[in-house]
Amino acid sequence: MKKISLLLSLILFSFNLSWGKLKVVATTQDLAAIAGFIGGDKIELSFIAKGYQDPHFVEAKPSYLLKLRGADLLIAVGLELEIGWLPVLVRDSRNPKILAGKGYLDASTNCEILEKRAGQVTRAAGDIHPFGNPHFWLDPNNGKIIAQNIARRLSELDPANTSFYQTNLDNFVSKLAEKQKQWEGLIEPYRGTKIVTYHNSWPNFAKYFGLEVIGYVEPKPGIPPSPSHTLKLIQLMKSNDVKIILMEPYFDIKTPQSIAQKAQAKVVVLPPSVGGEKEITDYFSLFDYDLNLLIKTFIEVGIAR
Amino acid sequence: MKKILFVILLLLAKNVNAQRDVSGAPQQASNIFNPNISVVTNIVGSFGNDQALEPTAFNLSEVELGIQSVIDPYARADIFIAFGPEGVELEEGYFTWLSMPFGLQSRFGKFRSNWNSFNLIHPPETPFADRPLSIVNFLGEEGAVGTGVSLSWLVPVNLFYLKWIAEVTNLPEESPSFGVIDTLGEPVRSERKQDLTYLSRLSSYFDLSESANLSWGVSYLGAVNEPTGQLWTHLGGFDLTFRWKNPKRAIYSSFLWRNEIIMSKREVASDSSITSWGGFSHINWQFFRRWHVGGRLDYSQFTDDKDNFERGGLAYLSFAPSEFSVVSVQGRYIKRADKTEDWAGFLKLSFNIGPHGAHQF
Repeated sequence: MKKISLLLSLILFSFNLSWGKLKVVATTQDLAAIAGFIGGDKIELSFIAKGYQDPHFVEAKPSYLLKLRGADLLIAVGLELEIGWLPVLVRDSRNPKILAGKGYLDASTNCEILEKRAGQVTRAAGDIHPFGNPHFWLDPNNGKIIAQNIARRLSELDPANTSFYQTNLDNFVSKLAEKQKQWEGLIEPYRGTKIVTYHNSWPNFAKYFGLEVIGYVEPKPGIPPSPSHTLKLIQLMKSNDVKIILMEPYFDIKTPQSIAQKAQAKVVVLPPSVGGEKEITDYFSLFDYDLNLLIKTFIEVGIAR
Repeated sequence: MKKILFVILLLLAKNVNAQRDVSGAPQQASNIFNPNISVVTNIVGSFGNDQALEPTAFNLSEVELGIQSVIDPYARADIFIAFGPEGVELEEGYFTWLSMPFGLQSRFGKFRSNWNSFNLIHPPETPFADRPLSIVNFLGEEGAVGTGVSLSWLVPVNLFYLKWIAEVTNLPEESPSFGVIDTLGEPVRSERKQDLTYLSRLSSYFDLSESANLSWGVSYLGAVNEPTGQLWTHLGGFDLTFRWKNPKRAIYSSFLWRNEIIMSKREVASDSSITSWGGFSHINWQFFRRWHVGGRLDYSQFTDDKDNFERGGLAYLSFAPSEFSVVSVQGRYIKRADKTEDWAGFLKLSFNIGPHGAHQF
């Protein structure tokens, strides 16, 4: 009898028979962090790209289909950030909820999107995103809009818990406002600081915190640095007295280190996403961590004001 | 009669006005509903003593035009037209019902069969300048492609990925293993509707760790091999692929080891058959962001000859300036069934233009 019970339990566990909570899948850990705050224990949450992964280059593993096929809601960054892997997963998921209709949420809706391309767009400009820079979550004001988008959609899908989602949204917004004051105070002395970044991932971050990005280690998005570009960048950094190269943890540090050495600058490896480091467990600690590290480096290289 | 003519003229005039109305209407403001159009091009230069090589040194071996779009909330269409030295061919053209009850998905049209795993990769998108010997000898230069219907089922288990596929397609016109030949030994199109190809495949996938995974599948493909429809060829396939990629350094290094085996049982009389087999093993190592090195070992008997075989290998070094182009130098050695040794060198350039497609997994 025990054996039969065990077997039945295994079968029930193996087959997808759980119900009740809304199943939410986020494409990135950032979106999952915000969705988790809003949805709380009313949703069953999972995500695909971990914070230390380059979200452009996630593999479309069949195991992700196990998450997507039962999802009630898929939250994507959008703006073609996930173009190399998400469409094929959604197509193969056989899940009508996320294929069309309210089960798919483009988190970029209503957000401030920078660098929208106008006129002719070609790959001569590198691996660009024609609808705008997709790293928009790095502006806390956009974080608020993403949270609103998620709360609205969760309420539409699960109207019985609308007040729960609204309360959580209010808490998120007030905590974010409090944090924004703190972050703005921290960065205030350093506004206007010129920096170089590896990839063009930081325009929203730079705009919000008042940093000026004057160049990139990549000559064009997705194109590895060439020796001639590197030389030009070193000259540019020297002539503009740039002391900081900001890069994501998933790029190779050798070239930025070499450039920094020749330009008497320093490389800061800054996680752009929740989960990029152990300490970054939610949307707020992402900015806490990044700003503290950035300011610490500013001080180290003598940008103290 | 005059009245009839008058009515016809009136109707024609009305129709002309209607056409004017349409042509004079505001142009559609947006082309966002246009299908995605992409082009993948494959240019191959070849030299060597291999008689199977193209007679000219450089060949635009294929230009593949892809037209893809969602049709409505329930379905999508994918059309691939290949332009090559032998003319224009509809390589694939199919309609997919994306979501059916019970985790089913179905496909109608002409498509690459879900035979093992390599068969699904379009020729310009493989790292090779050729196709593996076992695929050429048992399925033909183009691999298994058919017109018909495909039904796939994502088995609803949560612990691992498991997919079952069944396909029924027309008998291929030219295939070493299947089809009908005329009295001169030339392949001809079967005129019997019941001459169909049947495929079944069960595949699975496991994450061994965050970086490593393993996928495998077993396939069956069967159809008649002579005009009366009494004798069949049964193909059994097994594929196993190991992949490694550190997610923290996804763009810099990766490793793939793909293995495929084809086993064939060809009925030559009611009480006798020929059993033969072939296979290949392929390793690809990305050792820098833009650089890959790889090799393939081949062994293949023939569908109608188990006593003779071919074996060989291919090695390559490829450089991808971006996600959208790759150039490679390749060397191939084949010891043919008649014991001759063929050497070939290739320079292959592939590029794609159009919207960003899915990364190959």
